[in-house]
Amino acid sequence: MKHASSWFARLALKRKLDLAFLGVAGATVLMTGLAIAGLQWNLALQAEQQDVRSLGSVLAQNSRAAITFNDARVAESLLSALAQRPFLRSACLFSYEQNNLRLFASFPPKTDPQRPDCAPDAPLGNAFRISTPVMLDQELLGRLDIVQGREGLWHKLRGAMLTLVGILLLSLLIAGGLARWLQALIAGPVLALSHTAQAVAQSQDYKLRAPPSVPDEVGRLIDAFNDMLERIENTQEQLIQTEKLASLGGLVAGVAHEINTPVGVGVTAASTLHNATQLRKQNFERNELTATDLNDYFALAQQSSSIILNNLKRAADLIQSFKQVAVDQTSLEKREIPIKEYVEEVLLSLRPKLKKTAISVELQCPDDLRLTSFPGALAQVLTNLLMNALTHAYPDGGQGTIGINIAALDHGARIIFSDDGCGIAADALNKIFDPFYTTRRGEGGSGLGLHICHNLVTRQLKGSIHASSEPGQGTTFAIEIRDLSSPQEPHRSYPS
Amino acid sequence: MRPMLVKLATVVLALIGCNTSSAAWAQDPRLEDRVRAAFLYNFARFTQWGTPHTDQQLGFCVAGDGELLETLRETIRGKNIHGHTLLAFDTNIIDIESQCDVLYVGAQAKPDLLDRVAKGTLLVGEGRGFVQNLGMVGFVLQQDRLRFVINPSHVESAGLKLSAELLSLAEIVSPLESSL
Repeated sequence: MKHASSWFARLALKRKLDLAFLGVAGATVLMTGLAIAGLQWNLALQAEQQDVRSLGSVLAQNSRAAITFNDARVAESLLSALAQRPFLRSACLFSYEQNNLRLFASFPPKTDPQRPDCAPDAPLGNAFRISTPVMLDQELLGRLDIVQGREGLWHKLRGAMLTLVGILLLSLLIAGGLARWLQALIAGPVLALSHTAQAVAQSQDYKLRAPPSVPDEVGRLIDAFNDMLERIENTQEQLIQTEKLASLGGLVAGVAHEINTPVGVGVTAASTLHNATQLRKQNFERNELTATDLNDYFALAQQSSSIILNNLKRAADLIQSFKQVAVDQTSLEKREIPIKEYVEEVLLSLRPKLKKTAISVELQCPDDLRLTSFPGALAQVLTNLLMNALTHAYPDGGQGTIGINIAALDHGARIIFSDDGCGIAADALNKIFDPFYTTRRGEGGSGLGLHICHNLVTRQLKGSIHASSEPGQGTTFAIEIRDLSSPQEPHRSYPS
Repeated sequence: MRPMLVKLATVVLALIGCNTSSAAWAQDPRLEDRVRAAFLYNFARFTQWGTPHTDQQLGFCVAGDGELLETLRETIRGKNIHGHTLLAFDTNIIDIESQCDVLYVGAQAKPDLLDRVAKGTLLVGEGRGFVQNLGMVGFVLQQDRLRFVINPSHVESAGLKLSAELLSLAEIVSPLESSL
């Protein structure tokens, strides 16, 4: 029983429902069938007994004279008519003699070697005995015992039983069909919900929804599930937005720090020039300005202005690139991007981070590669990948090289982003794109960086991203993005 | 009734069963009368009268056999058939026409006896000839066993009905045979 129930528990819901329906229908049909068969058997047996009773009463009636006039031959010839009756075992006619029964005549007849055992306690086997008193006026003359086999019943009932079995099988078949139909009605929404839940778990795509169903408990379950998905989707959206803003904030800080240097150098050079100009002016008013002094001043002024000019230009460059990245990061605009130039700008904006490390970035990209895409998304992807590498690949602050290798494809580009860092263990590699998966919780890691990368690549850039790594051998991200100038069937791919 | 039947049966069985039947008849001369009396009584049991001569009683009349009359009186004492009291009469004493439902015509019966018999009387006598002429049931002795012959056409014309069971035990004398 326990084994059976655990077997049942392992079955699919569809099978369970099928079995439940068929089990109930089968049990009902079986019970009904048995009841009808039993009833039929009983009725047939009663009819047969009634038949034998009638026969007995006719024979008893007809054998009265034979007993009265003590003519056993006539009685035996009367009983011999029973030879026509199938499955009749025996008939024994007794007459009363001093209150004792005496066998008067029998079928088969007394001379027959197969003569029946007329003892009332003789075993019957598969037969029944009907006893009929032989009465004349109020006088009891004797008794007639007829033993009839039950084999005839089956012969009589065979047709009815076969029909019954046929009807029961047909009912079972109809019940099976009905079960199939009802099962689909009941299990369909549950299975759809289960499939949706599985798809969501596999693809992390919280935009999926289970198909709405009838307004019963399952329907409410599906509605609740869809509500939950919507909430998760909203929450994720918000988190991603927050993370974007946070990374933008980090970018602002980095850029401010970066700009601070040329502006500081400029201020120093300008103040040096200012002081030197003041000094030369006083000397000139006191007529103490020598030609050497003036020469020195010219050299200083030239150097200072050159420094100021260079640094201001540097600051302007920084601001320009920051503006570009910042605008692109928050914008969803699609435009044609000169890939190499743009990636360089992104890297420039990230220089403050890189400067603190001993890691260099090597970019290889065809000069003329242009692609219509979302620059903000691309910048975000590269930024996140780089930040991820800086944070995780070189834990001991060691030296390293990050390579960004970009090649043109037929309708897009392939970006190979590789580092020569510590690599990622296989079990972690499966989860790096999962939201909130981080090995640095509590140290500033949000677990969203690579998830955002994955989302942006697959959704916005209509591309794919795959990671491969072995511990100690560095990590490589292979990204393929599409040229979005001509609207094409969006395709999705997920990490395998 | 029952002891009588039993005795009768025993006797008849004895007659069928062994060759000493003649000895048996010889040993008890009244045995044959007892069998005849029992047969008369039983004939009445399997006979349907249109209307018996009297409502309450059924009359057995014996002509020309005083010993049988006595034996019959013993046989029917205390018995009834379909609620009718049974009586046995000597034909010399009573009015045959109004009292006899069953009339046994013995060997010594007066020849004019049958003239006085009313329609609806069961006529029982001795031998095939009696039945062929006028009678309805006749005793015959076959292989030392007392049996009887019936002429259904006489029974029918008298307005009587003998049960098929009784007929099945008897040798039937056909109307054709009787007319011959």
